[in-house]
Amino acid sequence: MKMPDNEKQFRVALVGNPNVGKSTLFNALTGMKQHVGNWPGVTVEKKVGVSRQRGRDIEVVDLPGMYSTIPYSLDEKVARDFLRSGDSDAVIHVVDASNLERNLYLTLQLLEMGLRPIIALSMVDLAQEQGILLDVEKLSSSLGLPVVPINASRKEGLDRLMAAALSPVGPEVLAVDYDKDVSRDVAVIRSILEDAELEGNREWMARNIVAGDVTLLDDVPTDIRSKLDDALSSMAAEDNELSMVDRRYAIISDLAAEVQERPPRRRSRSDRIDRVVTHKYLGIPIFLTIMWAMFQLTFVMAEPFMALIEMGFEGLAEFVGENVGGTLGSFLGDGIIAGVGSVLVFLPNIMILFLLLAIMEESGYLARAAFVMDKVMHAIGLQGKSIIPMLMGFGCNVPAIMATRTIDDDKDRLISILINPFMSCSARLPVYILLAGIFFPSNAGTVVFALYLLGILVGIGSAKLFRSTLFKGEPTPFIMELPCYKTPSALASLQKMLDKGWVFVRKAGSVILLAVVILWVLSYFPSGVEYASEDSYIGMLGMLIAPLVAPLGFDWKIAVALIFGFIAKEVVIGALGTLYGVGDDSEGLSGQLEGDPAWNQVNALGLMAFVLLYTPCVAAIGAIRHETGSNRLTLFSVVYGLAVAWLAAFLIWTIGGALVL
Amino acid sequence: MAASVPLMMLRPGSSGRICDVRGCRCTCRRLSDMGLCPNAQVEVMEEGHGSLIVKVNGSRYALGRGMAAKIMVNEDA
Repeated sequence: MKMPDNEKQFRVALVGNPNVGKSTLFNALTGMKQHVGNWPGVTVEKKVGVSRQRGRDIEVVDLPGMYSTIPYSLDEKVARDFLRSGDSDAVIHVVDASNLERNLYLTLQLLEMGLRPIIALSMVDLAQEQGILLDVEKLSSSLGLPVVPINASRKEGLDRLMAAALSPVGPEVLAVDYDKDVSRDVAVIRSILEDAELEGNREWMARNIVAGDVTLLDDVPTDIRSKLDDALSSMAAEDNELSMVDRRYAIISDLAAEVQERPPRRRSRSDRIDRVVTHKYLGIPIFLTIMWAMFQLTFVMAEPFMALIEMGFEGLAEFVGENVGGTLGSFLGDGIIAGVGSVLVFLPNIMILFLLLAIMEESGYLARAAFVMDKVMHAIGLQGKSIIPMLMGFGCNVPAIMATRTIDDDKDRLISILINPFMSCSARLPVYILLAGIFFPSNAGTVVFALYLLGILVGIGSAKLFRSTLFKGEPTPFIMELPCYKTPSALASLQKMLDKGWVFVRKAGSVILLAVVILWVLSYFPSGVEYASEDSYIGMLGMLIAPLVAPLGFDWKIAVALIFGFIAKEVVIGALGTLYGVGDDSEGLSGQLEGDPAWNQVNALGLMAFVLLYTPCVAAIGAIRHETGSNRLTLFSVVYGLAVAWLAAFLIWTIGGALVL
Repeated sequence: MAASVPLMMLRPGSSGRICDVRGCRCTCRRLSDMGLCPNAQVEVMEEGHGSLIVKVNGSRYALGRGMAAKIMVNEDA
């Protein structure tokens, strides 16, 4: 074994199909020592962590899940290109023992790339449960690779796995060979590639190009590219592809027959759950019930924690009010505590919402939603898979917009991106809770539920509109793996919740804090004016834009809050808190708004609808820009959102005003 | 051998062997990567309204509306 080299850290890449327990292994190896960033140039999540093994730190990179080294999506391309680059000292390939054949398909492709991966055999207990007998020794000797059974959630086998990763892997035993037609075509492509200045393994490149990998063609110089195109056009591409797939599966089925015994298939636990959950007629009611329960829980469970945080800030405001006077007192009390405090109160809601979303994803249910909702999604011009980013949008639109990447059809994907902002993210929740709590105290829950529904309906309407105008055509059919149901890991779900909670706290401490500081300065000066009155700078700004929102029943303070809400939707509350200077007020923001004659049930409802429908935040705009790659579509999304929001609030104010006021 | 039928014609609980996949190269390749290639044995688990849950080699897949129409199978007796 080579000696630890302190200059360069040993780097291990984790690779495997989706849903094989790769993330669980990553978490078990790295614990809390992990960092989530982006791969350079793309917004694919890059997870890197450090694992301590025998006194030395090993860097572990968790690659996006992939089915094949011929990428089908951006995620898969990132993973494939990393493996190709040779930037890892060892590769651990996580293989699902209950699903050997499909997983070995990737193993063979990794071998063809010239990699010598260590096989981490996961889901061993699941395989046993299904009566599958697996000869690990034989698998290892047939593949010529170390095979280590692991149970990541119980931390079993990890030491052996890492020891194997740190040791050199033996020589090649299993070579993938193709029939003479394919071999001839591969040789032709390879001879063309010999003339190009290229990094990496030419034999593998030639094979993948023959197998239909067009992404590799972009990497070669144009003169070589045209030679390749000529050569490829004279080949029987489809026959080659099929024959290569056939050959790989033939090798795999021989291998599998040797190393495993499978009892005749019977219905597993997951099949029995699916029988009910994905039932033709029960599926949708079950889905709606789960959604409804999720939102109920978000509110009920958060309440006591919210009361605690509120008490904390009230105490703090009181302390500041009694001990600090003058400008500083106003800055701390009216500005910071009122602004940031009003936002932080909603931390529990947001953490619980993300916890529940994580549980839904971990348990395997989220993937079923795509199946259950396929027909409904079709009716609005989308495919079933589009439901997943929509649900994620309830947490945060930014990762949800990125998640549309798993939708492989461009039109389906763009529509999914454009309607995602209407899915009411958790940042909008504080606005609803505050306003619904004040103006609709006896049926706040119903009002909030109605807002979510409104967002969904506007999303559906917009999808239909876009499908019949901007993106004409039929939604493409999808295929998606459904993982086995499993009890969500408490650790992983809690960690996700804490991560998101921490993001929220950091947001409160940075962007939101900055916004309220600016607001306070604009409210306090010119010196001598009444705080946040019409004579202050913010008042002047507010009066300037007030006419735009006057038809909606909003006054200038609301107009200011909405402008600042572009930064992040929580800022709407923070801004109102600062504008009303509620820091040292025992009644808090609720009391102030309730007493202000500028507010009533109708414009409060209009404001909630406006906040729901207009552009979520700068971060979401950035994500839309990045994912669509189009300034025009991004601008369209912002303008469309504003227009829809204005219209909705206008209708509420006009109709509601006529009925109620 | 019986004539081949689109996978969507199979009822839950029945199974068949894939004989052909129709569609663009890209779709065909993806289906192959996931094990839905000619000669693979496929079992229909559940059916929705035009969509299916199938099992191939122990993996479970949801096939959206339309996808199951592109896969031709010989149904097992």
